[in-house]
Amino acid sequence: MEKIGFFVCHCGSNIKATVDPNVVLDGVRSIPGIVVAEQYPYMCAKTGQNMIADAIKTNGLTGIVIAACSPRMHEATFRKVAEAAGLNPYMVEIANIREHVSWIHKNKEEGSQKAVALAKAAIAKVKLNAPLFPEENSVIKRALVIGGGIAGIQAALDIAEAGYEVDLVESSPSIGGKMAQLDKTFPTLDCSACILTPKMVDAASHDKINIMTYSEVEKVEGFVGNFTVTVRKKARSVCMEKCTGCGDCWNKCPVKNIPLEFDLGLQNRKAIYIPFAQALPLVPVIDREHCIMMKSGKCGLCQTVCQPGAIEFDQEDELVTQKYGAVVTATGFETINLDKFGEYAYNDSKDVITSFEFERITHGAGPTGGELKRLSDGRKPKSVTFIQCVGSRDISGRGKPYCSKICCMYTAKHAVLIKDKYPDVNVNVFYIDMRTPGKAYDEFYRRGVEEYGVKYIKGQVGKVVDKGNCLTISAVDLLDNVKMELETDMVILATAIQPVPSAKPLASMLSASIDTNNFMTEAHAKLRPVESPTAGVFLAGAGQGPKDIPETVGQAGAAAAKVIGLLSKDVLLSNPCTAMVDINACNGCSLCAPVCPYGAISYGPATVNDHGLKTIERVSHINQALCQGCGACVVVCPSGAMDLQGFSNKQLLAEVDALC
Amino acid sequence: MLDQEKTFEPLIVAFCCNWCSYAGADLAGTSRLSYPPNVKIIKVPCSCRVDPIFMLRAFGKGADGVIVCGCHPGDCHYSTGNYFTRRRFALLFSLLDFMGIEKERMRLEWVSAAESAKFARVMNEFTEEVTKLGPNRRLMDIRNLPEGYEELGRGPHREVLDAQAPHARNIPSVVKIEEQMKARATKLLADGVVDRVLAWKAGDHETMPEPAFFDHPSQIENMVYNKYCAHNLSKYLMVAPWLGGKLFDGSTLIFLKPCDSYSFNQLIKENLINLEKTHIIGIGCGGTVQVEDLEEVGMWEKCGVCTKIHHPVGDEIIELENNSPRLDKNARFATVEAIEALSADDRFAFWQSQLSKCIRCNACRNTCPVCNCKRCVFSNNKYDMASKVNATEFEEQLFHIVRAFHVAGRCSDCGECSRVCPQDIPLHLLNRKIIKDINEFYGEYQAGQDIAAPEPLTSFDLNNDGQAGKN
Repeated sequence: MEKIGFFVCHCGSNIKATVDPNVVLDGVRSIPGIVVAEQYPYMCAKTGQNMIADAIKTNGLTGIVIAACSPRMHEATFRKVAEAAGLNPYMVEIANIREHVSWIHKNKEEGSQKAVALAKAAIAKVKLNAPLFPEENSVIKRALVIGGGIAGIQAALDIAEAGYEVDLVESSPSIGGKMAQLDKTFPTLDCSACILTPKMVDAASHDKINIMTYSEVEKVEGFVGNFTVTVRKKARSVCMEKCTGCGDCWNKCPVKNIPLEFDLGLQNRKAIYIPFAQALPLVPVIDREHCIMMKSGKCGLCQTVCQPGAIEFDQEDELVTQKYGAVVTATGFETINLDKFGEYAYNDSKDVITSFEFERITHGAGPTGGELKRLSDGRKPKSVTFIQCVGSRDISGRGKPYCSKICCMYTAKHAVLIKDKYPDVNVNVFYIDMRTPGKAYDEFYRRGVEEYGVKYIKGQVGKVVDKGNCLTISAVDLLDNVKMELETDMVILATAIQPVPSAKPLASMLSASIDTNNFMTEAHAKLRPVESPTAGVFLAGAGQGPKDIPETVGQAGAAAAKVIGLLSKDVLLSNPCTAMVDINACNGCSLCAPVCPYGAISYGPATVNDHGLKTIERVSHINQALCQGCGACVVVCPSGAMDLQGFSNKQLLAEVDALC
Repeated sequence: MLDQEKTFEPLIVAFCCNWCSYAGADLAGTSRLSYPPNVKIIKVPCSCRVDPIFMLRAFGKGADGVIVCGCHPGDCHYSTGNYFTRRRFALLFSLLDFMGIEKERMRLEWVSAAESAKFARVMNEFTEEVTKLGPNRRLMDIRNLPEGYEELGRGPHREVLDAQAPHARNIPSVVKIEEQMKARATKLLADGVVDRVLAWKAGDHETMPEPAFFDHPSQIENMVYNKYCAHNLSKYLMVAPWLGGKLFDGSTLIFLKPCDSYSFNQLIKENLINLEKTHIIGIGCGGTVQVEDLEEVGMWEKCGVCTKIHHPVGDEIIELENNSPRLDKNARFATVEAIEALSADDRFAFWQSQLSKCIRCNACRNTCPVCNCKRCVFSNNKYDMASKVNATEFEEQLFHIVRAFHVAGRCSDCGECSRVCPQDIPLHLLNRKIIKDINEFYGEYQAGQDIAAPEPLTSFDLNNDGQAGKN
């Protein structure tokens, strides 16, 4: 016979004000099996916890029900109390009489009666609870970081510094990411490369970090603590070990006119190339699509000039499979395509550029050597106009509904950079709202206005027209409420950012969820911001949402800390609320496997003993480590052979019966 | 009466998923948004954990409204759980509506963890709506005779069944097929290709052939195949290895009419047939006839609307001469449509009059090829279902609904349930309603046609599941 302890919490006056604890106690006292029925002002306080623990020990309770706040709040607390007192933690049920009763209902009589009903349901359930025991799974002490931008580099460095092996996978030929393309960084205006390249070098030279550039994740299996990931190392056609990075090959390569991705196509590259001078690893790749040797078999100049003999035209993609305990996604962002924004004349005029393109123009190693020039005629502009929120905060469906967050500040930076170098250039900024929260951010923006004389105009631009020698802008100044026409020499669009397209297939490989904008979803928006809902997958950088460099680095460090915490454990306890098969009832009909999102169900022979008649039958089998306990398989099973521990058919029906 | 209505306080059970809706309800509390105390919440890990049986049980025990809440499509904590929920409940609600049970008493809502206001609003609206409906009786009364129709079987709206009256039609002779069947069976047995043959043998009267196993060529002379061989043989092969308490390890030749071959193929899909030890011969069929008191009364309904003339599975096929489609493939839905056209009250009265005849003999369950659970939920202790003698227990009342639901998406519409029913209940109409809904909601699907095709209730279509909004 079960011995159930029942405890009502007053939560100070939070519960007691609209639920009479005595009514609740009287309502359940006579239920068979109830041997303790107590109340206390704060069940979660130490004294309340001791009261529960004492009752368990004194009465040898087989289960407890606490009528208190939501189980989302203190279920874990009370489970620990039970465990410490020698009761299996899964013999605890919570009747939620605060969030679902006292805070909702003002009538004390009604509230108390509803509390009794919920208490009865919880008691009916706990009587059918069974002790559950988590399984132990060992943790592979190695992390995978996907994405070699600043987020990935930082996360990899932090994890490696704690002593764990890290594989850093980057799809492009070099690590560095978007930050490597930037000139200066706000609000301090320090040079991006000066602060990034040392970190790149640290990562590349770290003995715990294994960098795989020009590589992509191809397949993910497994679960927290024990992922098996296959990475495709694309054929570089250059031997990493032999290459010295001397540059003879790309100097001699006759294919010249391929737009350089790193420079957003503003400069050209060869068919064998490094994306930028500080690339790491400093080993070129052959662009097989454009290489003459690859296309026609006639050329091989690079191979001829390469002293160490590093050119390998016959190199093939290599698949590397490795086990990891944790995965960090740091896939980053890109700017959106502006085809739908014809009004800004981006596709029509060379002098309308995105802020990212401007970043290359103002960069010393960029297409103009850092000089401010119109791309159409090379003339130095007399006036530059910035347009903010291009595609951001756009609910028309052309752009993105969210704020891209970084644009206000980088536009302020660009405006200051121009004014600093060329005080005579007129700089106008069209904005909708200025959003400059962040340490020293607003001060920086105001300096632009007050010290440098950047002119900010609140309003959206209706049309940009390229007149050849200048551009005209039609806009509305919302503060003065006047229509305005403006002549300018260059227009710079603060273009919305979005996750890279590869984020979506990656999320699906990892079973990590993404939101409607393809940003990775966090496990909890406030309390678990660097974890994905899938255990063992962590998030860093702009792939999770728009963010600037300090935030990205901060989040990368936080994700690394979570990874380190995970890898420091030798074993992980699994959630024991998993599906279970009664092989005596299972007929192997195979309805269950298609609904399992985790591939946890397989079928195989098992010895079934039906009243002494032993046969080998094909039945369902659950991989307990993969099962997350959703219950989809349980409901499609028509015979009830499948059941969910902790939420069994009998338990849920008992709750229904108790309520009805 | 007015006073009674005023004081009626409905009991509402809400199943909320742990990750979104339960959290949304918590936030409603934290935000002090009020909704009626009539709503009692049961936490489940995911909306896909809510078995339709839970909902039916709640109604059976006296709930007046049941609502299932889950994460918005695309937001499921388990990625895809709510897509299954969506299909499952769209079909259940539609079936109950078909039986005249107020669909306003049941709801499926998506409530995110942030939508506390929506949670409170939905609960307020739902309570108000259920209060207007008054106490729930119909699900509990579904197998009680409607008032004024005490005489068994003379229920209201018999006329809708006229649409399915047996078609008088010339049934082509299958004598040639019978000869070929005997020849093949004799040969395959004699050659040792198979160890036994599953077919029909002569019964007590020529109109009463029986399914039978033949394990020697000398027995084949007793084999018959004629217009009285209505039985679907599919299930015999599945259960036969157990007959006589002895395991049969040999191989079997089975003869399948076109309709049976769909059931059989579904069993193959469900891995319940050992194909390596089965030799399948598809045989042509021109329809089978119903016999009462040794007199032919016409074609069986299932044959009258049959459109299955080909075999989706078979090692050999013995075709009927002049085999051609007989009917428009949607003709079989005429009766379902006739019932749909009735008012809710009339639909309810119709089903009451039909289901009240049920004596729970389990013939439908025993003959149904996809009622193939080793232990039916109505006979095992997993759901603590009542024993079958206790005819007042609500599970008993809901037996046919649960059965129809458990075979949803798997039923090939072989019509055996109605054919074997000693009480002449048109049970197949429940299954056919679900088939019609599946076709309309999720695209044409024929169970047993293609073993590789995903089943409607264990698959989903991100872009084409809008029908769930119908509830």
